Amino acid sequence: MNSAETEFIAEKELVSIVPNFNYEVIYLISGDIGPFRAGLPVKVPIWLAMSLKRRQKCRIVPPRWMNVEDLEEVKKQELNERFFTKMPSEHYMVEAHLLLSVAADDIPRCEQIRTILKDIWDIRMSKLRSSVDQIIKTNAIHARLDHLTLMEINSIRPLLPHALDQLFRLQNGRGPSQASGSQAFTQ
Amino acid sequence: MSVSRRPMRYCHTEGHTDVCFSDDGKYIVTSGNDGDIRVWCGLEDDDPNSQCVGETAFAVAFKGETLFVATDNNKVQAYTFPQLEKDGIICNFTAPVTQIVISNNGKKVICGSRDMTIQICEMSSNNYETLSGHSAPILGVSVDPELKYLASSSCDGTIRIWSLETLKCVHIWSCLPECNSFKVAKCLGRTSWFPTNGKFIAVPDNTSIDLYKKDSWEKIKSFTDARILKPISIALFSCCGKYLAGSTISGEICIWNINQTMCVSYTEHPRHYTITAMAWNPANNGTIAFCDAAGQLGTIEGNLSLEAIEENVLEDEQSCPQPIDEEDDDDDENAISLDKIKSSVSQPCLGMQKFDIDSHSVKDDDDDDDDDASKMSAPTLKLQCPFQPASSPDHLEHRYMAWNSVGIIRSFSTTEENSVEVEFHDSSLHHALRLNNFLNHTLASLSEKAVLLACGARDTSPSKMVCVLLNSWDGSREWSVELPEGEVALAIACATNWVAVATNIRNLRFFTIAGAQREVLSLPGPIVCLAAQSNMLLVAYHHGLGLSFTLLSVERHGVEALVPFQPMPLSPHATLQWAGFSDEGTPCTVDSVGILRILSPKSFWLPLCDTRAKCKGKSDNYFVIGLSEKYQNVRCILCKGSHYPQTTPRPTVVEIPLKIPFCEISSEKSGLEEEFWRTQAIFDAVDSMCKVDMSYQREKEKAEKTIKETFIKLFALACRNGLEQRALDICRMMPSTQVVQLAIKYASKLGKMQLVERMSDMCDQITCGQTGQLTESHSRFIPSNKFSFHKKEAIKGNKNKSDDEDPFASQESSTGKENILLALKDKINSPANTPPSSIQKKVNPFKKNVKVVDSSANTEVNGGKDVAIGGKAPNGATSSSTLKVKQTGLWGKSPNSAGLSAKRPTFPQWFEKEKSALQEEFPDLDSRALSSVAVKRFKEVVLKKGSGAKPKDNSPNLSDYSQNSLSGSPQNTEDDITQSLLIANLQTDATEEITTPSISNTETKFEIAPDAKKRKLNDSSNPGGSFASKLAKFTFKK
Repeated sequence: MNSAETEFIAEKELVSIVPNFNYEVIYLISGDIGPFRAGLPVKVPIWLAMSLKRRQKCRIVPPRWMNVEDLEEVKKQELNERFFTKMPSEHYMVEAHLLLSVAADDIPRCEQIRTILKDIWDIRMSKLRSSVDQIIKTNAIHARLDHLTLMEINSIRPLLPHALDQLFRLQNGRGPSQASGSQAFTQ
Repeated sequence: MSVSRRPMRYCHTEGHTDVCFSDDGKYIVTSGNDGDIRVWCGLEDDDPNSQCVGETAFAVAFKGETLFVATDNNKVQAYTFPQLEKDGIICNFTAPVTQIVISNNGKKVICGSRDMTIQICEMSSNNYETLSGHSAPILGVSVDPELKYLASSSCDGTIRIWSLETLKCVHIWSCLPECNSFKVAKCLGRTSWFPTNGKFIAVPDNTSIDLYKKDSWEKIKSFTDARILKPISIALFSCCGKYLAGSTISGEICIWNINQTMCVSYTEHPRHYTITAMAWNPANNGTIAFCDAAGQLGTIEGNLSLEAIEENVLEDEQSCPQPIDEEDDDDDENAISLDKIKSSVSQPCLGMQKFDIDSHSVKDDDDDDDDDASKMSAPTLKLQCPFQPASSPDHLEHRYMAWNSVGIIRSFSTTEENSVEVEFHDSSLHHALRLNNFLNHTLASLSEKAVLLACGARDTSPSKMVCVLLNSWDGSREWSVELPEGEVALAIACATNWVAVATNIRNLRFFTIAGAQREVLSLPGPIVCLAAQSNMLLVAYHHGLGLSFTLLSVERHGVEALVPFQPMPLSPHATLQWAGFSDEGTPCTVDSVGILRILSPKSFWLPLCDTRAKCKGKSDNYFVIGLSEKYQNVRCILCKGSHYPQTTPRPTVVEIPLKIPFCEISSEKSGLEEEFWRTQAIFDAVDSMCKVDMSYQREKEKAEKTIKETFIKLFALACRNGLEQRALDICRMMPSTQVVQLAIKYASKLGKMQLVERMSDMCDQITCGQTGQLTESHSRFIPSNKFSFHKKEAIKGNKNKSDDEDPFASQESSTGKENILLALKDKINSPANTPPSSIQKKVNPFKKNVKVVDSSANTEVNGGKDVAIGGKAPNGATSSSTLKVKQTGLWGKSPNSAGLSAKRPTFPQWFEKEKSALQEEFPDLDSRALSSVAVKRFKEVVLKKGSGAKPKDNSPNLSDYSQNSLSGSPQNTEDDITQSLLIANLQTDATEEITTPSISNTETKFEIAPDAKKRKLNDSSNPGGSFASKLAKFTFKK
């Protein structure tokens, strides 16, 4: 799964918007959306919110967690914990990226939010790398990583299984030679 | 004296904070480390008037209309109040002033400074005298009310008494801890003189306060308390002289009754910060305002009746020379005060209502319009000043002038700009507007057609109103009108076709939207607010002690009072906070304690929501901007820690559901009751909107369904709990007998015979009341019901889920049901004024034809057209899952049959008639074969003839048919429902129960298949019908 696909999935998350038009309920396969009442918040998928925002048809209400104070708290917790902490949203990075890209004017202190999110992302990625390092070094059979978001998993998925395969092959490469040696020995 | 300490609230940044009251006790003025002074209308004020006076403000004092503030520029600056404009410098020091006191007559201002000097300034002459002698910064000063002495405390550890005549130190106590700076001094050692005559001085001495006699400086008494462990910093007599308050450096505040040397109140600061300042409210001696070192403001409010205090004052005056010797008050008073002490200890936060009044009335003090009449009737009450619904107070720089369903009007009145911004929720209505506010408009109103602004009178210019038209087609974009001299606009409202303005001389003026003048009305009292929507105007005004309102209808031809002048309900001690209309046009109000009320069409007010109950924080509020009855919610903005929303960042509207304040709301019963009555309450509005807006149709159906469902659930709940009488009560509340029938059925399933009997009696009475005749049909109604019970006894063995949770968990074994349905049918027919004889007839074919059914069901299977439906019947009987499908099919089609089949005789009728002839013709056939032949013949003869013939006027036939065949006529909803249930029943009953009428049904149905679809569509728009069909479906699922 590449990042575009992850983004596609994340776009299904709901976000509140305040439309500046009136429209009745839209019936979609994923569920009904609306009715749109001008000036009143309504929950819509991010893809729709972005599309409406681009056409200046709505104002996006930032998700509850998307403010500097809460994110600072998350960051602090992430720093202090040894393991991954639960993120406020399963797609926090994608959501923030999408919303901040189109609706920077609706989100107060968006630059700060961007920075903090980047920090959180970096902390988590370094944690992820160090745990990968650890698993390889200790030759562990499995590792359990809770609270990883889809985006994070996909950042390492293209590489890690492949690398492990290679490692395995290398180890096996040594294995058969030993085996053949032993066979030679028995012969 | 029971007291309560209000929660502390932030007022300044951390540091020394001073507090004082205005002379009338309405305002609390604080100064703090952030260099601001703030004027609070009581502790609850969320928008204190704030003024920056310097880097740091050290002390404030208030006298008359002047506020004295000491700042870091080493000066004492006077400010006018309440305008807070600079009014001269009182005195200069070389270091900041630590305390300012003002003599009772207001002529002398005494300031103690960090430069170790004290200055006494004469206000009249601007002369000043300096007292020097302290060897460290002055911490506090206090002045003898008789202006003979002055007391000062200093960081050098001494408290000195100075003679104001000789300006010499006359006495020294060394009772304070020494320190080297005001900043590090914890204990301020602030003294206090006995208020009326200064006979005594209270001097804090470590953990006690000592009382010394003037002149002789003998110690008379010492006040202490076991709970006080830290040094007392401030001593302060109440204004009446009855009480003495002392605060410690660890946040305890003790109040002693000085006559009894008894601690009457003890409160602790939650975080034990040092109390830096304390002030008694001069207007009511129960309240102390205090500030702590963290910059927080708190109040202690005591439940002292003012009269009692006055008495005490008198007493003290009479016994002026030796008030202290009066220690032995009579026993009664002692006993009472003991009780009070106990109550103060056990319930420290009760008894605050009295002061709530105060805090609310304080808010409205700007109301300076001439309300002499009402003032005379209620001299102590301040009237609420007029306001615009959903606006924030006009002293704010950025404020909302209006926020309604159309848009938002904001005003920015800073020094750089003064403008009004209008934004529309629906951008297709109009683009956003930005208007320069040259005239200083303070009132605004918005509708789909216009923006209305109004300003008060200024020096030369009269009060003016400006209306900006949004969609003018003649090029004139705005018009304005000047009110006559002396008349000031206090409230305005803008609707689609007219605007209204209420003025200070109690005129209510109407204009058309384009500015033509219309009626001028006289209001019975001072205006509070106006709210307009479409053609309605809600006027709220003061009348007597409370508010009144009227609802006017402004039509093309004139203004008319829809609701005459009437009192408006408000919660105790509350003011009106918002008034407006729901989306559906029902007038509604919100008061300051957050209760939302709507005006029911029966012209009383219903509380529909307690918005404050939905807040999490204590000082959070919802700023209401609208109400939707369609969605049953209130649109509002959550204001954290304030009453009004901020302009930036843009607040988000939240919708909170309506909830009637029912008792024990968490219980299931109350939940259902609440839902039932809430839906009832909004039903009228939704119903009336249906006629205008088709989108309300769905909501109406939903509401109807909810009412029925909650009713049935309530009924079932009562039945389950064995509360039969309550169940009957619930039945009585239900207007529709159709649902009552279902309830009867349910009750009979539960075996509650007595209840069923009473309910059917009740039904009788209701229908009697409705029709005023038809006694015969009723007498038949009851026996048929009873009959069902007998049958039920017989089949009791079959049913095992009758106590199922669901009210409609009826069974397939529905003999009883059938009978009820018959009964129901009876009842339904009866309003159609059918003669009893025909009703009798109705039942007969049902039974007679049983034989015929048998034969036809078998023989007709291959008999052509009938197969499609006739063949399904046995299936349906055996399998309940297919039954459901079938049922719906039948349901959709069956009512149709009546309409068409009425044009020609039905099979049973025809068969009845022709039976003998047929028997003659085919004497050798048995009954089964005979009927099959008959059916064929019937088709050939009758139906072909019928289809060939043009449809004729069928009304006589129709009624005949409806009585003779069970399919009935689709005359009304109830009929449809009965049918659906009935047909469903017939299908579920075993084949031997299948009757000829059902065949006739299927037959005719087939014939009119194209029509069936149309009918189905109709059915779907029929709320009662769909509800019943769902019920029926549900039944069969089970």
